Amino acid sequence: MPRVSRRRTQPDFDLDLVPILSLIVHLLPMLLLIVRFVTLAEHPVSQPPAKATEAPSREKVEAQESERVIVRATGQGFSVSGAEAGEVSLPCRSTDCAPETYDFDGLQAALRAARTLHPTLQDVLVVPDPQVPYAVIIGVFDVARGKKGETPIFANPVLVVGAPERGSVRSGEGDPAAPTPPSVGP
Amino acid sequence: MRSARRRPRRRVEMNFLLSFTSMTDMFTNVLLFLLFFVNPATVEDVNFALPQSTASAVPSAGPRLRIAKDEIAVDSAPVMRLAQGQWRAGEGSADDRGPLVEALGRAREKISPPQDAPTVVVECDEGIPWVVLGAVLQSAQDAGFAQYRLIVLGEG
Repeated sequence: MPRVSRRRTQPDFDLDLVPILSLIVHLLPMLLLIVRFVTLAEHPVSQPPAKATEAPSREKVEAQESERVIVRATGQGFSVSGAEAGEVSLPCRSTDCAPETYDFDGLQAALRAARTLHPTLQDVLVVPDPQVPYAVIIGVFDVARGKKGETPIFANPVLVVGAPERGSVRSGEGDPAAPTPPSVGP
Repeated sequence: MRSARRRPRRRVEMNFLLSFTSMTDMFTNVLLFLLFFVNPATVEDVNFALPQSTASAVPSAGPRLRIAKDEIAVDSAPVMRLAQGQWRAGEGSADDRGPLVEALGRAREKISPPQDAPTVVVECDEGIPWVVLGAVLQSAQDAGFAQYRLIVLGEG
C-alpha cells in the first residue's frame, strides 16, 4: 500500500510540447501576414541657391516662362505650360477631384512632349494650389522622375510657392490668402 | 531480482521541469522584435499614412519632421496641433509657427558633423494640403534647412 501512494505522489510528468509548438508555428505566420511590410523610399527636394528678392520685369518673366516647364496642380486638375504653344489642360476624370482621379497619364504625355521641346532642361516647376493634397504632389514627382530603371522625363521636379497667377511663376509669389510656403526652385 | 526491476523504472520516471519563464520571455522578445524592428511602418495610425510612390531612393538619416493629420512633430516630439490635416482656427501664420522653427533649429544644431546643406526628413500624411505642407517646409527653411527628403511608400 505505501508503495502505491508513493507512485501517486510522483506522477509521470510528460509535457506535451506539441500544442505549444503548434501555437507558436501558427502565431508567427499570422503575425508576419498581419504586419504591413512596406519599403520606404524618398524624393529628394533641394532649395534654390538664392531667393528672388525683387520682382523681375515682365519681359524677364515671360522669357523665363518660355524656358520653363510648369505643372500646376489645382482643384480641377493639372495644367502644363511649356509642353506646346499655350497651355495643356488636364482636368480630373470626375467632377470630384480626388488624388486618384487626376490625369497622371495625360500629365506624363504632356511632360514627354515638353521634354522634346526642352531637351536640355532638367527642372520642372510644380505649382500646387493651397488645398491640393500631398499625394498629388508626390504623384507629379513620380511622373517626372519615372519608375526605377526608367530614364526620368525631368530629373529635378521643383516645388514652387502657392498658386500664382498665370505668368507670374517665380519664387516668393503665391496665393496671398495662404501662408507663405517655401520658395523651392532651381 | 526485485531490486533489479525497480532501478530502471526510477531512471525513466525522472522529474521534468520545463522553464516556462524562459520560453515566455523568448517568445515575447521574438514578438516585440517582429512588431517593432522588422518594419517601422507596422503600426496602423488613423492620423498618418504615407503616400504611395514609385520612388526607389533609400531614405536617408537626419532630423525627422512628421506631419500627421492631428499634429506636427520634430524628432517624435509634438510641436503643433492640426485639426483634420488643416491649421486650427487662427493658426498657421508665420508667428504661430515660431515654436516649430525653434524646434527645427534645435534639431539642426544636433546634426553631427554639421552639414553645409542640412537636410530634414519629411514624413507627411498623404492628405495634408499644400497650404500646410508648404508652410511647414517654409519653417524648415527658416530654421536653416536647405534640403528636404520627402518620405514615401516605395514599391517594395
